[in-house]
Amino acid sequence: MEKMYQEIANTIMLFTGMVRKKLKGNVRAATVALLTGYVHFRDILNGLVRDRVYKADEFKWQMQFKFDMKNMLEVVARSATDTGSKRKLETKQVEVDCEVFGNVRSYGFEYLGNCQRLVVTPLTERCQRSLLVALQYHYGGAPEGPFGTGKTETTKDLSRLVAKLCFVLNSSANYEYAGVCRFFKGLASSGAWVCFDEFNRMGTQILSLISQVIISIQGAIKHQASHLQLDEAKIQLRGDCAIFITLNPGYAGRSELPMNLKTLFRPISMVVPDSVFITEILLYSSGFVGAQQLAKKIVSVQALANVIMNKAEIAHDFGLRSIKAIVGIAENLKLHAQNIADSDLTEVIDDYTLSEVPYKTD
Amino acid sequence: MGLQDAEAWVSEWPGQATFLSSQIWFTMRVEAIFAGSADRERALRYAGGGAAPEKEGSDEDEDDPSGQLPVTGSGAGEGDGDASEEERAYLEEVNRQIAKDEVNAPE
Repeated sequence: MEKMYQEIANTIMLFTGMVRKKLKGNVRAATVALLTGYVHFRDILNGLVRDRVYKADEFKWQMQFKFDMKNMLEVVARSATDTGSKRKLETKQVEVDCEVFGNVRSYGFEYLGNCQRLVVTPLTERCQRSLLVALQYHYGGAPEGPFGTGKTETTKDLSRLVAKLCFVLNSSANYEYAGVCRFFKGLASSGAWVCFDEFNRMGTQILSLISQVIISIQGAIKHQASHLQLDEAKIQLRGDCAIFITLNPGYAGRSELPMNLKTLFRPISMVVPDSVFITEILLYSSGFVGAQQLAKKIVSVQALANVIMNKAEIAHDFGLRSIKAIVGIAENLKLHAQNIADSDLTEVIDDYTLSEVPYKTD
Repeated sequence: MGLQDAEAWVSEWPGQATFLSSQIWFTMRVEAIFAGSADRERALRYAGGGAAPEKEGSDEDEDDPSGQLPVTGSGAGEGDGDASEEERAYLEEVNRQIAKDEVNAPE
């Protein structure tokens, strides 16, 4: 395992070196995603060795997301024997499973492109694990917590992990039953995932009606039905569709979920994310050398600004969203001016924050 | 990276494919290490050894389950051994000091 750890550490160094060079947009995006993944592998290995895990059935390994290509030997044999134009493999021939705690979910093979990956922290990992296990028991997932904790992002990242198409809908009090029902019909027949952001923004009446639709869909999936009767229409059902909601409990203008709706979703509490760790990985994958120190500085500045601006009653989000924006600007600057020093980040913070914050001139 | 150069691998394949293959590769490698460890344990048991797997594994170089990795994460790899050794050294120093004081003490 030590050898493997070294191999992963070397690959991380390799990717870090690649990120610092000028790369094509898609190659850079793929490298950054791989770098994020490999940093997570390194952390997993560290944990396995620290906890002296040496059996595959131990809890510390079972709790990890494991990907398995079931028919690998068959696929390799076929690709070796086929020649020329026939060599191209179809995704139907390849079967990949994602497993956590013995709950298996098929890889969706939905084309999602070269998307950015979320930095894996213990919080996001716990949430994704719970969501996947909830799906296995035919429940939906309901991450709940204050804003800026990554509820929606974590759900979206899980969909990317298992390559499923995930629609994020910003729930509104103006939603009508007919529109939502049409949406659910499409969802059930296409096998996509949906995440209703701030679900409790909808009114209690429509929530009650929606709960009936969700009960029908989840019941049909549970009984492995091939068709489903929804709103006087018989539609084809794909069992891999899933419904998630995110909630901001206790906020103004939010309604309480009906009890029959609450029981359909597995609640997951989200707390304040580890901003320093996330910023460090973001900076690291943007090619900054002293990422650890810089991350601490950025997070401290943002936290201080948050306190000061709150006192001055200026509304601005100094959370991870603004940190991500700052790192994005810094990355662009670094790409276009290769000799930029790490200390120049202070200018980026100034430029971004001052342009965002409204101030009085009197 | 093994068979192919990393830069060529990333630029020649779609990002989603490289990410998925890295996930599969990681799972396979770790499970192969676990399987190797289990095989060794089984072989030792059949051979009449029957010793605890932790001790057997520590003799191996690659699949050593008890091997310590270089420390990278916060608080990772903080061994108890260092702490107890320090403690022992401190106690010895205190005992030495007490003995010296006793010798030098006036009758």
